[in-house]
Amino acid sequence: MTTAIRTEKLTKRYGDFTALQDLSLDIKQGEVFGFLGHNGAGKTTTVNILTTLLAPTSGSASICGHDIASESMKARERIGYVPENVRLYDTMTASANLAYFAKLSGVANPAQRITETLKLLDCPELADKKVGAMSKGLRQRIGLAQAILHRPDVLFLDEPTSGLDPLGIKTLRDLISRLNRGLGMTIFMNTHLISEVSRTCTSIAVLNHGRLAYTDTIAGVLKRFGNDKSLEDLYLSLTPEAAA
Amino acid sequence: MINSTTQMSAIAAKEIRDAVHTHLLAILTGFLVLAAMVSLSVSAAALHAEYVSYIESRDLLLSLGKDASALVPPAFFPLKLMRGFVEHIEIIGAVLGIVLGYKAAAVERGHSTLALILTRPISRFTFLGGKVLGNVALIVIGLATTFSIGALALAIISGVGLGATDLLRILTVFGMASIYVSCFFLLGFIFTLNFKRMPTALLAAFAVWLALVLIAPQIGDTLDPDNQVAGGVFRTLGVPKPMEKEIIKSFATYETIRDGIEQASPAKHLERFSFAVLGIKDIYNGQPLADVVRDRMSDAWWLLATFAALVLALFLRPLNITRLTKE
Amino acid sequence: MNDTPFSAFFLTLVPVTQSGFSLALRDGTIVLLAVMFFVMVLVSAYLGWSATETVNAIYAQAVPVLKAQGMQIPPNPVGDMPPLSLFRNMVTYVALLGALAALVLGHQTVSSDRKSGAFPLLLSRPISRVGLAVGKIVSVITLIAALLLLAATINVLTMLVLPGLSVTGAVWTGLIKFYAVSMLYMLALGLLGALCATVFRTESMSLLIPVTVWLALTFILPQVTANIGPMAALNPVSANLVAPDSKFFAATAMIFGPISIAESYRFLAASVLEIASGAGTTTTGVGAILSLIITNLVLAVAFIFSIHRFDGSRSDYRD
Repeated sequence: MTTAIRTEKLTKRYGDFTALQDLSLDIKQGEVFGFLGHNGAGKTTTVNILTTLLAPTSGSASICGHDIASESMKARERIGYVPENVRLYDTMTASANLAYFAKLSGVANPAQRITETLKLLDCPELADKKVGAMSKGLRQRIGLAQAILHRPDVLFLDEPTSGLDPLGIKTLRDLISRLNRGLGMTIFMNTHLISEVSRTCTSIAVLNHGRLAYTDTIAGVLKRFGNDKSLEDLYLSLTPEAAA
Repeated sequence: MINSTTQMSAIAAKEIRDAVHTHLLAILTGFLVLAAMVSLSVSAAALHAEYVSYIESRDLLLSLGKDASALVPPAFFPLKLMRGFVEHIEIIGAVLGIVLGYKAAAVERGHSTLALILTRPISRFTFLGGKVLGNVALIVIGLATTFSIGALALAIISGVGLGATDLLRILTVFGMASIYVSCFFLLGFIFTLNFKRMPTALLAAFAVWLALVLIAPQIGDTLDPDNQVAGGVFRTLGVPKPMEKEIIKSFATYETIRDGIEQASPAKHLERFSFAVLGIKDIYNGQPLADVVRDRMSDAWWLLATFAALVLALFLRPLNITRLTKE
Repeated sequence: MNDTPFSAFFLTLVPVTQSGFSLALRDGTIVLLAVMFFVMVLVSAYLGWSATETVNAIYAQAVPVLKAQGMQIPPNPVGDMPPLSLFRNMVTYVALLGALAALVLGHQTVSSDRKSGAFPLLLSRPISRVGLAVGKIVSVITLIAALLLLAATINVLTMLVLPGLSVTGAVWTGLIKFYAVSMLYMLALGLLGALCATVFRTESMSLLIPVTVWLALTFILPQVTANIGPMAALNPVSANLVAPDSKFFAATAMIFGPISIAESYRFLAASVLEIASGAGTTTTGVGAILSLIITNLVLAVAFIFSIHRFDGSRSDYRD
């Protein structure tokens, strides 16, 4: 299998504070990767670096073989990104928002692609609704549509389930597996919810205070620790202050 | 590779569509048009009053059987009525620029949209360039509307219409005014992109506006030796014009400082340029446009240099993503 | 609500007023505007001094020239300058910076509570809403007064330091009157700021609207009522200008005069500083004072009403 995301000794410092220390990851194409950690562990910093929003202090990273520093434009062409609490332009309709991002992403036939994408995400009826009037769950759906318009190879989701109700979480889970299996997208998902990871992901990593504490495939984790409950125990044992 | 021209025009087009859609363009232009029309009609009314009083005095003299040829009828140069109009562009036009700059940054800040845009294959230069392009276009649209309505009103008020040269003069001032307002757009945009809090950025831009547009010219004006006594020092003393020039010469250093304070104000440059082109300043009245422009080219350069410096400042400063995307 | 509305009113008033002070002092923008205002007060003192010096110098040079021409020597115009006209630029700086500082001050006294989310919490307590509003007004009045008191101190020092000024009782009275009308004008803008901060949904809108009103008051209305151009409106001497004698200006002055408070302020300030005679203008001192007082009362009542009607469940105040 080829590598979708590779990081080598990725480090980010803000003055004296180290947000991320020597993170090395190798995520294969087609994986759904769960990136676990308590609030402030450095998950969003990692995503910001991988999506080229932040420059690392040291270390390197590449997306589908494109270095994020020297080939940032090429890397950006391969990614899609849904930030936590995604908010598009409130006063514009969903399709107007999507058309704008389609043009910025260089999508050839925006109108057709938007229709296809909304259909893929089971929400064609949202096309003419204003984003500002949508519930959080629907807004996130449009955020997701925005991220996959150009059919990226790698999709970054930052805390995708935050603030969603149980039904919204289930719908999102279905969509993620549809994008992963149907379109073959590699998915990198930040979360602090263990239940999410065990149901959706194929491999995980646990980040603790900016350092990689553990990484394995879900199959490996289950083989080693058993059921869901022990995954929670694993997380707590790796991040003792989260338990406190 | 994705075409950056397409991206830039997509961003610019969105800026324009947004401003039209949210009625921001209409509101700002409406306020400017209102101010401009008030100033034109008031100037016309004042001139009319002057004319009526001239007719009355003349008729009085004639009815008394006296010679009325000593009375000079008020001179009428339609473009001279634009004095208040230009001053409103200086003051309110600059506010329009600041508000557009604020809005251009505010619409992305605190939303995740900036992060989304910057993870697209688009360079910072293209993104900022599109924003500047769109908003400069908005400024041109707003000012073109104001100037067109102003020119039309002037043609109606004057009753004789405006000649081709008159229109060319108005067009020249319009061009310079667009650069001037764009400078304030850039100021508002740069501040709102870089300040910790957006409302603080808005107020800081207003503070700069106060200092440059209102206070600097006012200080310069106050320091003018002749303005120290209401009605003019020289007139009060009864000093004839040639002697006045002689006396002023000994205030050279003082004049340099005064001029320096005025030079700091882009508003003053727009004013000097426009008053010359429109013939509001008497020494330029009736002179060919090309000569006037050549004579006041330094004011045009000052404005262009300010614009260029601000564009440079905008492009050279990296965007602070962590701050800009924070709710 | 409390059983005794009267005691609730005072129980609310005091802490609200106190918190108003500490919030203002921690607000960077207010401090910036206040500093700008003081710098300009100092500049105004310098300008007053420089004006006198310049006219003296011109006079000294003009005398021999006029003598040589055999012309009559007029008296030095400096002798005719009233001492308070030294501070004529203060009128402009109060109308520009003072007004803007007051506007922001009034604005933040409400917006800081709304931003922090304290407003819904405050309103869910058994407090008197009228007490809350009055407390806010008292803190705005006190802060504006403090700003003006400092400015006045600088003026007094300037007068005492400058040689050759005969400072009489009338001069002191004039200065006090000047600060009283400045207070009235600034308070009107402070109340406008507070009112807008309560009424509008976003912080930016609630700042832009009163700034627009201020722009119209300062630059557009004086032109409508008295043909005073936007830039001339900054010059305190323009209070001397007589509106053209025509039906148009008589009508506009009647319609817009009462609400044209920036003009009322300039007129009053110019007359107490003796830089304008006021003769011939359509404005009268009594009318101008009345228009300032009535505007303040209307705005204060509107503000109290807006706080009274404020929907406490609204917590969507954004940038």
